[in-house]
Amino acid sequence: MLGKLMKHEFRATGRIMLPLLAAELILAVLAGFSVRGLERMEDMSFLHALYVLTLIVFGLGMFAIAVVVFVLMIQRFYRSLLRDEGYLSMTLPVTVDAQIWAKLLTSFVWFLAVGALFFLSMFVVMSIGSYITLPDLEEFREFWRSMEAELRELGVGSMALYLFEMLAAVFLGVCVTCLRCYASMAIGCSAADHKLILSFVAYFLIGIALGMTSNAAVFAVLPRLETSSFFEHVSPARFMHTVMLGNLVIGAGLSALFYLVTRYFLKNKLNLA
Amino acid sequence: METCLECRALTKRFGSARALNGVNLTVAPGRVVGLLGPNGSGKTTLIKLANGLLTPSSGEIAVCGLTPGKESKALVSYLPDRPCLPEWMSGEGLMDYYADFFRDFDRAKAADMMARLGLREEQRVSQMSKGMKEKVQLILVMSRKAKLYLLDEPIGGVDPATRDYILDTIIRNYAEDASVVISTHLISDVENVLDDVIFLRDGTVTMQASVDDIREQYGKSVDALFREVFKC
Repeated sequence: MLGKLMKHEFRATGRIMLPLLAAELILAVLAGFSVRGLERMEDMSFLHALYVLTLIVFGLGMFAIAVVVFVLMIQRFYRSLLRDEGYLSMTLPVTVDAQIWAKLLTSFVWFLAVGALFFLSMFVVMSIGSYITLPDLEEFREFWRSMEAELRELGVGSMALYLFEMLAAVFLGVCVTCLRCYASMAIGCSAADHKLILSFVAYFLIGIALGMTSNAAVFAVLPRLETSSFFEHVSPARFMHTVMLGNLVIGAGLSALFYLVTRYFLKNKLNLA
Repeated sequence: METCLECRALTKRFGSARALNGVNLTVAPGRVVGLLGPNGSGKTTLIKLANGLLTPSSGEIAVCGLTPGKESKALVSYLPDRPCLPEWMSGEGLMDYYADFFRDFDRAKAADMMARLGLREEQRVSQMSKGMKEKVQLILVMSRKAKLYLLDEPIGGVDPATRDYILDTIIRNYAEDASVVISTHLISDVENVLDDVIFLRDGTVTMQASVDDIREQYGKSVDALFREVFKC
């Protein structure tokens, strides 16, 4: 059933996201030609203004898509599970887990798509604008090799491993962001009235609780680290990986916590208006 | 034969307010039951509990012997008291949606009913009038071969002609071993299609009887009895 839920979730979101992604790619092509045009143009003219305007629209478009994907993630969960549409979706013969996963995975895919669009459109702009050309990929490979060699000399470890850890951190970051919003809405909408306001209140209270917990953890750990010989014996590579791993563990823990809160409220405290 | 719906000492509290208070009732297969009571008597709460949209504060509720959940939802066809169809979907998309999630959904039957009512499959919900949305919702619900139909105010807010059509659709389309629970306070309109009635007042069942027994025992219609029992 998860597959079917996702199919319909993609139908609901794709009708908004796909045209936006396509439009931004077209804007990237136009922005690329604008960059090329501006390079060759010396005097101020109407065409000059048009090129600049295209670049501004391209930049704003990218920002707008980032906002839309975030708003869509919130809106789909709120509208289809917690408002009137919930009378249909929450009476489907599927588990609450499937409902949450369908929303989370679909949002995740769109966040990834927007990330990929960012890099792709940058590549398009630079390719057409003649800043880089395809053979320059070899230069990138050379850059990568030299970076790896330098990191190894410094004893900081593999660049590929860092990249993997960073990507994992980004993935978990998206999960934490989505699930924190879901948990806040599930809590807020369990009330009889003022559901939206209470959802915002829940979101900010979660933020305050997280802030207080992390501060308490830092204050608890720092004095011990200062008096211990941890920094003397640990290599820079090990230290970096420990920090990254700690970050991933915290992300996974928060994701699990927000997931369980969302699940509990949807299963036991659902209160459709 | 297993009951379609059973409540034992079912209580639902919202804060300090009791929406349902120790409700005991059973709905046997093959019956059309009117869940009757004034506004705020707990009809919608009871239906939401049967659909798993609310959890009981205490007591038990079972649909075909199952606690409300994934399995029971496959057996229940639910018409809520408000429009709940996604506005961006078309009639065709909605039929795809129902066919994907409900094995007992008869797509051909739904398409036929839509055609007979002059509803275009390609029309989006957002382009439909309130009455059209209610009809589409009812068609989807009644195109399932469910064990229990829970219809919350199916005729509220529609014109008399549509009201007749809706009741006709309900009676024509449920299977013999299935039960239909109709929640309403428009009793005179539904009385002719009911086998049994359940009177709810302030979250408590005050009467569960067959329509024939009521006519025989009280010598009056269900509507007349309701007016007498719930006189303000």
